[in-house]
Amino acid sequence: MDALLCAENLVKQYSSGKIAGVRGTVRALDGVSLTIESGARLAIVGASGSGKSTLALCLACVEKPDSGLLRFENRDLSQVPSRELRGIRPQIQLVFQDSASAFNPRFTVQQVLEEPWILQKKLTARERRDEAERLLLRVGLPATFLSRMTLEMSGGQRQRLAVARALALGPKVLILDEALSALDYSVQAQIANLLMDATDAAIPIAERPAVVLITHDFAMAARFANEIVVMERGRIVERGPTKKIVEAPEHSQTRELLACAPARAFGAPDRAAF
Amino acid sequence: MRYLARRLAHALLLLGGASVLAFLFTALAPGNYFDEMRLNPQISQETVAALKAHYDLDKPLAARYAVWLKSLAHGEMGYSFAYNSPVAPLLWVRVRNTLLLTMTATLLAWCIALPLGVLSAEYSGRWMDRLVTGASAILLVIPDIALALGFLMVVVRTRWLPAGGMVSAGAEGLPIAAQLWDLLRHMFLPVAILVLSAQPLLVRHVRSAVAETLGEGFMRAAEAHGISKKRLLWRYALPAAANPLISLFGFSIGALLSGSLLIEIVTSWPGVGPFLLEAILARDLFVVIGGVLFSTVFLIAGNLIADVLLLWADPRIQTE
Amino acid sequence: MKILRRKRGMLLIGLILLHGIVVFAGFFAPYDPAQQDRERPYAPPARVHFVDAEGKFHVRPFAYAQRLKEGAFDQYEEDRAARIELKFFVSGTPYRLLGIIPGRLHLFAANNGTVNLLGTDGYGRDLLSRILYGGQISLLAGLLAAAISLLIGAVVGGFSGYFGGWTDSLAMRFAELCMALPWLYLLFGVRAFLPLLVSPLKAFLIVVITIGALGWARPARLVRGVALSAKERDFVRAAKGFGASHFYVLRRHILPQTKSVILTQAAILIPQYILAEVTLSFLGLGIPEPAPSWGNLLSSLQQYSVLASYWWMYLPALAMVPFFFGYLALSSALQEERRAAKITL
Repeated sequence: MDALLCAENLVKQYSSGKIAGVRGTVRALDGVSLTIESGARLAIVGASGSGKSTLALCLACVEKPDSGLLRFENRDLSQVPSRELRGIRPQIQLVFQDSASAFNPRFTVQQVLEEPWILQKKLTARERRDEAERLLLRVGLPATFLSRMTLEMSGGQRQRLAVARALALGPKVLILDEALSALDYSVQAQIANLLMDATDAAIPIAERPAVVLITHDFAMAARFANEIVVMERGRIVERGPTKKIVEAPEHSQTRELLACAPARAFGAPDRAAF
Repeated sequence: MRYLARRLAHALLLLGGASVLAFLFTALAPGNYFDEMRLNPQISQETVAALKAHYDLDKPLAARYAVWLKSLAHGEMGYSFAYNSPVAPLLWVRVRNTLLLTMTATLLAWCIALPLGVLSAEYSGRWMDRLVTGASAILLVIPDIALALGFLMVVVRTRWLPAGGMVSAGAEGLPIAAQLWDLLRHMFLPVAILVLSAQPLLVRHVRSAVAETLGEGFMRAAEAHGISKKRLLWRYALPAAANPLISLFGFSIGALLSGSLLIEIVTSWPGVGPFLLEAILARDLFVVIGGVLFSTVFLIAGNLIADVLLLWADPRIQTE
Repeated sequence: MKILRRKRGMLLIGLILLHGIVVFAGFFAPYDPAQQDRERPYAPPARVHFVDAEGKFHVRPFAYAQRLKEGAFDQYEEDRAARIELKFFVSGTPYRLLGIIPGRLHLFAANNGTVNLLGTDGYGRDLLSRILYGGQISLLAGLLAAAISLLIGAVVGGFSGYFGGWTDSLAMRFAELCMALPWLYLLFGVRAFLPLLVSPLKAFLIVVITIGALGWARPARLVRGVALSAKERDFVRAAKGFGASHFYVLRRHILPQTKSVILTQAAILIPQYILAEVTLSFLGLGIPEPAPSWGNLLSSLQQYSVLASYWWMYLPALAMVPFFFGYLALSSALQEERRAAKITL
């Protein structure tokens, strides 16, 4: 497994307006280095404000880091011309937490799923529709949903739609930024299973996206990921294989987060048996 | 305090920008007044040449603007070519006349609209509210030109009031009381038209602002404490509804000089309106600039006053 | 929601019908608006009767011919001997619908004589016909000017809000400046500083462009607000992630969101601009004679004699009222719909 997406020393700060009359800056990312390999299952955990979401935005090229390097397939993304970047960005997909604003309220499900193909200018109209249907089924939604408006769907259904859209162009990296946090527990499980199926070891590596699950729920992370990265205040404080992190956490933050997670059997990642 | 200073600076900047715009615009307009002036036998060639030199109309735009600014600092606003006299005194008289009209009308309009709006919101849905809302709707769809002309026609045919103008001929010789009465009789028509055309919007806003506060929790709490209905309305609901109304009041102030343009023209009231129109048609540049700027000052001042009042009335804004 | 949509639909239909009357002015108007009759200046509105002087009832409405009273030069009386019957759906003076399609069918016409239902003006021209044709010009001016304002506003506001940066700040400062200047004065000023003695067509274009161009600021601010909030939405980010160009995002995601703001603005601006044209024409700064416009139809009222004696010359002022009512009701309905939509979301 080779390095697919590499972040080196990412720094990003935001000016935070006035706190007690003093203008401050917040260092959301304070020198973060991370390597994501093809087909990996990675979880990034941390408390609110630890910089997880900012990292996700930078990895997906939605935000530009103030300093640091981002490499995709060994190419420095800051050096790539914008036209080529347009071809690269679809390969790193981001699914947000809030599905409500993830879709244009006037779009039907079909329009949502066809948009990636329209933008990439591939496939005929008929092929696009077939693809859309396939994507729906892949995430466990019935084909009849094609004509529905996104607002008419439940939260869980919308997140599935978001995952479906993200998978449309066959991305190499799929990042889920707290995408499951707002959902019911059982719905979380269903989508987690979906992701597990999509990243099953049996699928050839060329078609298997690397999935980065960003969450504050340690239990979910442990169930799903092979590797866990712990963040605190813009820095990575610990990382390692799931088994090791869960059984022998070194950093205080890791221990805190573990303590908050509901006491359940933290087995090796397997199908979530809910 | 710093907020106020910022708003003031902002307003001054806006005014400066407006003056530049106005100046630029009149400078770009085709037809130099002096060409027409030269044809005017009443003005000697020397005067034309002297004026031209004084206002450096041959110099580039920026220089002209600077000269005009300098004269502004001295309280002068240029020279009216049509009236053959400095603009400032001419404009002051007209502004005074207009303000007489508009301030009276604005005061009256608010005095009528406030109680109407408040009571309308209180008795929402009942006959009083329906009457007021209905009358407002009717007034709203009648454009002010129709209102003005209609009333003027009625006045002309019935001779109840003088048909326009500000004072009757020969009124200067009369005793003060009679002069005042004469003035009032002349004012009645334009003020009535102004008040009526302002009513619908004012009443509507007052009503909706008060209606919103009436539904809020604190009102019901106050009611449960046994506070009288009248007190509830006037001392609780109205102040709470003040914010949008203060902004509206700012608009009213802003329109003091520019809102009565058409009505003054229709009723021949010697205010800024007819004066400006004349000046525009006669290409009397400095009058146009002076008049437009005056109105702009009021518009900007109105906004500023509204901001100040808001700050004073709503403590929440200070902490934002 | 459905009720509101139906209400809005009905209002729209009502407005379209009202406009239709003006568009089909040729059909509804009995006479050519430019046709003068110097023998009958300022004739009062003809009275329509069903019962004649002998008490006989006629099914067909009729009017009596008007003739000048003995010795008077502007007082008319009915000539009981001459009955002029009104026929409906008859062929009369030819006209051209929208200036292109020729037609001869009129809603009603008098067969043997002239009947002016709303009287005549100083040149003996039928006021009803002039009001109907005048409506074409005034309404079209308002609609076109509003379209111009909205177009400029949408483009400037859309680009400004979406791209941001210093061009945005500049544009918005400029908009603020434009809004700080008194609109009516500005309108008069700009119009008057442009050539005044031009043909009606040129004057029409000048008026429309002036009114429209001066009103760009408020729509621009509103559209900018929508664009600003829309560009931060996740679906825009998602589209960008799929390689969407700015143009695509603007066209597919941002502009459609501005639709409702633009429509509400249209309902507010159109009557305002119609009134602006009427005011300009009334003061002689708008559409000149002989082209009729509601404004210049009213300009004769600036004369005392007309005000005092010829009350029917006031009627064009009331022609605007039903249209304003329609637009006002429409904008209220649109606002109600927007509020309801916000609640359901």
